[in-house]
Amino acid sequence: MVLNSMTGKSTKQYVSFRIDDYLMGIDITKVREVNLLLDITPVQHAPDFVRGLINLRGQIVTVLDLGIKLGRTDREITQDSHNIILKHDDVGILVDSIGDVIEVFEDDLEIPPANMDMAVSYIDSVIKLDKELMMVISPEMILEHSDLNPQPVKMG
Amino acid sequence: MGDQNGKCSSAGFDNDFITEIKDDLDLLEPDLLAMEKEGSRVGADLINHAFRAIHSIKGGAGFCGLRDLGAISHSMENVLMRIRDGRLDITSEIVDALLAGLDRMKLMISNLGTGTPVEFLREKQILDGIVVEGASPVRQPSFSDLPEQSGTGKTKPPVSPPGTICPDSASLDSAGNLSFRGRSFKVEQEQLERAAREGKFVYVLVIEAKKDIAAKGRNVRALHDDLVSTGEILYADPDLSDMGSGDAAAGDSFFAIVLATILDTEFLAEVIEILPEQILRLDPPPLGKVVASPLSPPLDARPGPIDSVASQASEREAIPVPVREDSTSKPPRDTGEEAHRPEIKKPGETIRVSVDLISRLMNLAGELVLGRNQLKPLIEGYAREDTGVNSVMQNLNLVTTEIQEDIMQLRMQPVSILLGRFNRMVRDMARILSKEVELVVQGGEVELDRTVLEGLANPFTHLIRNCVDHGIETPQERKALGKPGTGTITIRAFHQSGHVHIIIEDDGRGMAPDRIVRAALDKGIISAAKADGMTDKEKIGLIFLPGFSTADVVTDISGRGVGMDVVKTNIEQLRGVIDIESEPGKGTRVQIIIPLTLAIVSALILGTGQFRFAIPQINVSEVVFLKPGDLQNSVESINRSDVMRFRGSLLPVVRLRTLLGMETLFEDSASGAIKTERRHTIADRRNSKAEPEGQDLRARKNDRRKTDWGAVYVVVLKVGNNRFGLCVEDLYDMEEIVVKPLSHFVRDCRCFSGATILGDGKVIMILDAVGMAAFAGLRFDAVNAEAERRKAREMEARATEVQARNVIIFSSARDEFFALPLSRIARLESIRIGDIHRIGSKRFMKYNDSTLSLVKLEDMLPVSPCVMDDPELHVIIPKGISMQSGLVVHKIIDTMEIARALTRDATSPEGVEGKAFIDGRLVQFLDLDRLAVLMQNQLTVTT
Repeated sequence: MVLNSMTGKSTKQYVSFRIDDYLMGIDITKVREVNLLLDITPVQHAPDFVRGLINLRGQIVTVLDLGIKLGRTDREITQDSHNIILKHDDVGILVDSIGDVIEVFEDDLEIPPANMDMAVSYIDSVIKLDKELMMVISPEMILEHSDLNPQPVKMG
Repeated sequence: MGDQNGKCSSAGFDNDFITEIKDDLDLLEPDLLAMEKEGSRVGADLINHAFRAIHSIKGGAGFCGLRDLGAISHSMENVLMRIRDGRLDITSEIVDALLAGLDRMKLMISNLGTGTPVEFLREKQILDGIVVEGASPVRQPSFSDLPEQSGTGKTKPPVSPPGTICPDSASLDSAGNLSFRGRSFKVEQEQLERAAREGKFVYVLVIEAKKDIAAKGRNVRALHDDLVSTGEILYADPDLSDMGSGDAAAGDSFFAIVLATILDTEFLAEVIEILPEQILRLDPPPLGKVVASPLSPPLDARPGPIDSVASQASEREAIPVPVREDSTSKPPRDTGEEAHRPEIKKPGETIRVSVDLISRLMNLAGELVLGRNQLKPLIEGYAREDTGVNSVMQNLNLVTTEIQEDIMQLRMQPVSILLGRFNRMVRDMARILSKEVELVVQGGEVELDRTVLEGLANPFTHLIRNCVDHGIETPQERKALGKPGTGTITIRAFHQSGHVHIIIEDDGRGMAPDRIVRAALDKGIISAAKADGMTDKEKIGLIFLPGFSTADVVTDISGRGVGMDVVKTNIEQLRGVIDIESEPGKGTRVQIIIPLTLAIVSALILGTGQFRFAIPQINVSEVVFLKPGDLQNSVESINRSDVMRFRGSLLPVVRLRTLLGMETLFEDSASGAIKTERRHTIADRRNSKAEPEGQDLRARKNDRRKTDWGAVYVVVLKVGNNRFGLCVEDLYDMEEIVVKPLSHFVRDCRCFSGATILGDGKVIMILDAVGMAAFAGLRFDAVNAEAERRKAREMEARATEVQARNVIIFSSARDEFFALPLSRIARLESIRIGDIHRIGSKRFMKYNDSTLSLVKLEDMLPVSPCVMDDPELHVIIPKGISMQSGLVVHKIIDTMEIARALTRDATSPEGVEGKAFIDGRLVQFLDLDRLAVLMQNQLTVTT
């Protein structure tokens, strides 16, 4: 949390990224790094949303495909694909493209609307940006609910 | 007395001291056990070693302010001292008391910081009681009795020549004056007494201002602080506390100091950074008046441990000196054979490193290797141009490998660390059970990875406890059996083919396989049918089954069943194998094979399609290479399951890519495109007609079945005693891989046991043979059970002779029916009565242009005479008997297949196998072999 010097209001920074068309964000303090290690070794028999394992400088990191969790199909690796490696638990998230770091006022965070299935969506809150909405995902919830079956998220 | 007061009660106690106390406690135990074993022949060095350990425990305890620990260690020290001086003989009771004290101390240390006081008065009283009882009048002269040799006399030359070491102790004269190294000291008697009561030593120190303070860059203030922190200054000349930090550091001045502290001489010298020669320890004062009753509870702190026990004589020695190894002292010390113990490493040779750090180093070394491996191909191009690069690379190679090996070595610890612990357990159990057991450890120097060693502690405890409890008999039983009264448990550790083998063997009563089976049947663990066909080894293996480990069964079978399933699981978790053999009356032998390290295993890298996998070498039995042409011949299909004829039996074959549900891709030889293989099993390929449509003709003409499939390898994997083949397309090298655990997202994948990173940086999965077999639905258990069932059934069938057979049923007398197996009959002839020719009592007929002797059943068996008045009779000509003859019967009734149990009873005469009711007729089944003998007798006797 950073105090914005201009307004004096506290702000937070999010790494923005896209999975399919969704604009999503993740708290920058929970991200270890963003990389291009896309040589992912698939793990057969693993749950769908587990994309596979990568070698992060000698450490094995499990890469998840959140798109599956959101009811989409497998990510296709393109030249825009990136891994966002989380700070905890040797977990990475495969995303279709990586965006800017977005700084928002805490006031702009809103809890997800009632018609979103909170339990499986990992959506912590929604940020109303000028042009579109950004879903903020919670790494803790990903790790906690990873044993659940993927269920599509109801969204407009 | 509230222990854990002072600085140690808080979490901030001095960790190094605590660790040292722990180490000393660990050192003490084997010494005590060895002392018991040696008895009166115990060597002085052993006692001294134990003594040193307890002494430094006491020192450390005093330093940390752990009064309880100090008190009990003091009592133990007293006992050990008397043993050392030969005033006490070692008995099991004494060792018991010492061990009990040791246990208390261990508990105190482990309770540190929890604030839980440990009751220890009983143990202390026992120890003190030993001292009082054992204070025999015959005292060996000890050095404190030799004042003229101990340098206490005032006439002693003031300064010792350089290099000589002053004796450790000295006495005061009656006025409390003392001279040491040319300095005179004054000590109040009362101060000495108080110090003694508090368990402190009193030292006289001479410190040279120039050498000890100025030259070391210290000042007087610091010296003063050091002294105060280690003990209490009883006397100082000149008074240190008056001095500022600046002055007196120069000049030739000396400081004469009397200090009361719990530290021993060497340690004190180290702390205040002076030479041991500059220190003189004072004997404690003769304290006749302060003797307290040995049973007085030392609850109030002041009448401390030291004076609570002994007479004046012993009290004068109550300040014990561990005999210094480097001592060149003149007086002949008590033993003289204080040989240097080789296993005691001098400080400086070892350091303490946290396991975390080593693990981190391991990982880093792993990465270094990885980096090296990645660098290799990149640099190869340059190496060709510049030979210098090559040698640099080689050097890097070598160093990297060595670093990795050495760091691995850091994690290795000798098994003796683990096995040494069991001496105590065996001894205690044997004493409780009134047995005599000796534990022999061979190969204690064999090293294992720390994690492996830790994992073995629990199973080994089980196994050895079982040996003592159930395996070894009581001395009486043993003697009755002609065995030596003392049972022996041998633990041998050795290396073999890259694994460590540990064998635990006892010479006890062994296990009776049948009793194990009975117990297993009683428990309902196995079925009776299964039990029948078991070998003895399999029967003994039953104890590994879960559920076998209930106490009543265990005592009942007089074997080892206590948690053996847990033992097995534990060993298997370490990727180990356990095997047990037992011979009733002779003993039991448990063999455990474990990998050297958990983290690094040797594995075979194999591949299918674009993926590579590793399979631990321990699972691989052999690899069979199938050439493209061979494949069709070697792998066959039974109901969509692939099998291979392998060494005369069928080996289930599982295709890795099918197992892992991977799309079977192949490169179409015509178009070069990657297509999906549509057939699911290897055997499908043999059935070319089932080839799905859509393959263009050219591809077919090229016979892509052969070209695209190429060769395959069948890796034969061991899963316990079972084997199966894993069919893969590619085979790479053997590689030492670092096993990395799987994250919880993928932990449920049964086919994998971990992941690893190959030299080229690629992550690959490690296959798990057991998991694959389970996933592929290989029903080894069911197959084994079925095999057993069939074996059992066969045996049963043989026992009751219920085998379906074809028989011919005929009658001899009108209502007497007989049966003969059809397979034994060569021919049936229909004859008329007139065809029978007689010579005396013998009958013949013409058969194939020769004569055939004829017999009738009534000639041989107690049956009614054959009906001979019918115009048509029959002759049965049996085969497979030595003398050609025919059996005359009345009528052939029928041939039929019967599978019925025959009843054989006392009414069945010789030559009759038994009888049975068939279609309402009582039929006697003839035993042709027996009958043939009778026939022969009949024919020859009558000749």
